[in-house]
Amino acid sequence: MSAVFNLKPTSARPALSLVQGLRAVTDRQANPRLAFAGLLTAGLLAIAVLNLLLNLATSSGVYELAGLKAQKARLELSSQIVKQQVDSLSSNQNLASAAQAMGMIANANPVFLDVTNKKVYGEPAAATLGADSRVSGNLIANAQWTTKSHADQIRAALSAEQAKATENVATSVATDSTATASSTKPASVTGSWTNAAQGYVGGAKSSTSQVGLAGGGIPAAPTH
Amino acid sequence: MRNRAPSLEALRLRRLMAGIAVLAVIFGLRLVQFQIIQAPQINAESLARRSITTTVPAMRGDIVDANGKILATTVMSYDINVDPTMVKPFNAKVNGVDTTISVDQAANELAAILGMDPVEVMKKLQGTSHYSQVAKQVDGSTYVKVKNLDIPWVFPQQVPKRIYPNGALAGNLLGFVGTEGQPLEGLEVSENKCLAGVDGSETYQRGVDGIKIPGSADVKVAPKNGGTLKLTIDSDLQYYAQQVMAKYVRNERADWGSAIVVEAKTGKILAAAEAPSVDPNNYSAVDAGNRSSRIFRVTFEPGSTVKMVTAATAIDQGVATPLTHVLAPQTSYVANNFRISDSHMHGLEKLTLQGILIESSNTGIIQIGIKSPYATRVKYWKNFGLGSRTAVNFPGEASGIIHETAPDGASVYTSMFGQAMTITPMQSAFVYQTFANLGVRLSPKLLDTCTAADGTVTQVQKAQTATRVLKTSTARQIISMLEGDVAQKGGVGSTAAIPGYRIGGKSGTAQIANDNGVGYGLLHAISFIGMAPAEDPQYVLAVTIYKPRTVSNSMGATPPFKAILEQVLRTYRVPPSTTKSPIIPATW
Repeated sequence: MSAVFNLKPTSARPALSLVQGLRAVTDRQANPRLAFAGLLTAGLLAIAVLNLLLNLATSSGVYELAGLKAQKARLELSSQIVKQQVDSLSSNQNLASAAQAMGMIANANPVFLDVTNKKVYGEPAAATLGADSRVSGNLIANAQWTTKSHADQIRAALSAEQAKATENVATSVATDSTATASSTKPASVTGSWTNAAQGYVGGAKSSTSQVGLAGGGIPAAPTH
Repeated sequence: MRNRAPSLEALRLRRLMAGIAVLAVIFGLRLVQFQIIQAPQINAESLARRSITTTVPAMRGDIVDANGKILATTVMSYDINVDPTMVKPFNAKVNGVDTTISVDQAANELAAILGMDPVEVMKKLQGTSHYSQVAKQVDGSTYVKVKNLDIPWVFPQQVPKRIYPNGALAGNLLGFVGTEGQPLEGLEVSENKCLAGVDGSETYQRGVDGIKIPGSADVKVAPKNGGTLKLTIDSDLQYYAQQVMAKYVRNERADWGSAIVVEAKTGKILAAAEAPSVDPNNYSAVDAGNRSSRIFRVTFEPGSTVKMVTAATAIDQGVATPLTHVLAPQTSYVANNFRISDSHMHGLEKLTLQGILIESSNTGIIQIGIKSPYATRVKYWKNFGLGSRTAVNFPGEASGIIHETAPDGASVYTSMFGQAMTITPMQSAFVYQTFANLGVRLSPKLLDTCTAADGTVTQVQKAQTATRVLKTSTARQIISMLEGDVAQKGGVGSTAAIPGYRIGGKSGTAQIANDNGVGYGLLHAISFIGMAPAEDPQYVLAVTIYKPRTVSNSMGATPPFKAILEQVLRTYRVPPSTTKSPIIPATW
């Protein structure tokens, strides 16, 4: 555009004359222009490269984000699966059935010890399997009771634990009569817990059962 | 200079300039049209092509028991959908080797995982539609197995699913929701306001690869999850009571049975067990009649348990005491020769009011009841909560019927022993709560709090009301007579005794009116309602068994009463009584 505007006044000029020093002026201004153009090009290039890098970084970040979101979804899913197994194992149906399978019955004659008054309330009597006091196996339907405790595995684990504990006690008595009770106990406890866990895994068929049994099957472990 | 004709060169230049100017104007106008006039429309169209809106489902709130144990919750489940137009063999890596999987093979694998018939699965894979549902709402572990098959034409879709981890435990109270999550029954319906959430949405712009375009706007409307509803129910006790009732309803071949445990001094319902019960996870497995709460909805003529109300009215009015003497014949004739008989054969008996209650004598109680005018008795019934719905306001709750004026001469008398009126099992429990709480009836409390997703806690039921029905002294005399009913030999009550504890209670063997309204059938509604420990009543238990076929009197209701009450005493660590029940003479 500037070229077009320059033409007009040129054509309207009455006469032409030599302008002194024009060449010198052109020479003086040519170099800075070239430098400016170079600077401009370099700047633009730098901006373009920077933009490209930024874009790359952002898009890879987006893909990373998508990946992390997918991972989060997977983890939430497995947490939900495990939670449902725990819910199933801690359902009244499961606990009652497991307790019954292990031979536990409720005692209709509770006895209370009043520690402060040193008194016993009630008359101690053994729990009996009376027709009236005993409730038969689970009668309450539950379609969500999908993960179950296996009584035989619990029994196996408990007896393994008991055997181990007996063995530990016997060993400590036989080999080291000076061993204190405190040094024996932790060893047997650790042993029994490991044993119990191994017992379950060994008998379990699926990963779901393992999860359940580890939570549901060791309530009595630390005491003998 | 101005008059000089422009040179050819200049003329061309001008034309070029004019052309450029015209083009510039055209471009400019078009630009204005696109950028300003049509801009919103174009933007919207473009956004619609790139953007995608997904619903972020809100999770329905949990229902928990008094101890926070989850009775109902919402989890993600998965619909297994297929695009039948895409169904064809595909390549998948099996043990690291690329293998072609045929459609048959894929269908067989799907069927094995989903527990379906392969033929049925195959049918669902055929067709020209883009959508076919193979399985609905499968759980997370099944979904993982399906996903691991890597079938390119299977599209699982996430959908929230309501589950009840304890199955039929309190199922009759909880109710259930439909497959689309819509509440259908019980507390799921009545407490929907607390439980329901508001779905959110997420809108973002995605590229061809389905990944969000970097830097594009992401509009999220967060879902509002539902609140947590806390009940007063103790789920362990509820389970035990349901087990006991299921056993006795089965053994006695009854239509149904219910057991309600109430904390006497707070009006909290600790257990409301029914048999048969409904597993809300699978409600279609039981008959429609067994899917709701009979404890709140069914009314029946209560029978002899109402004799305590008649006795309490008379004592409170000062017209009788536990020692009031009557001569009770086997049969009496009232109001135009209407015959009233006792259920067991006996001669003329010299009974006190205590004796009347132990023997559950109809001919005896009418001699006590007639001492109070009918209108006075109606006033007491109302104060006991009969004839009106409870504060729980359970969906479909019945009010029962009491007559303001006696419909006929005979009903003035029959209402003294629980005929010519109907009540719900819940109302009957709170009549005895009134006795146990020394004359003050509290409104039943089943719903405790609603904790919203933001943590705000609100009381679900209105403030509890306390109605003074009886003088404290009257209530104490009634409790003593209830104790006598259990502690003294001779009546049904003695079979409800628990060694070591002072128990008070009263039996009822009510006739059931025929469906046509004429006369009574051969089957009964048997009940036993009582409290423990009687020296300072803490817990009230009401057991009802409807139409037992192997027993015909309330002897069928005392064994479950005893079993559940023993569990109540164990659960709440109630020490055995240190004193003996008072003995009020039954005869004179």
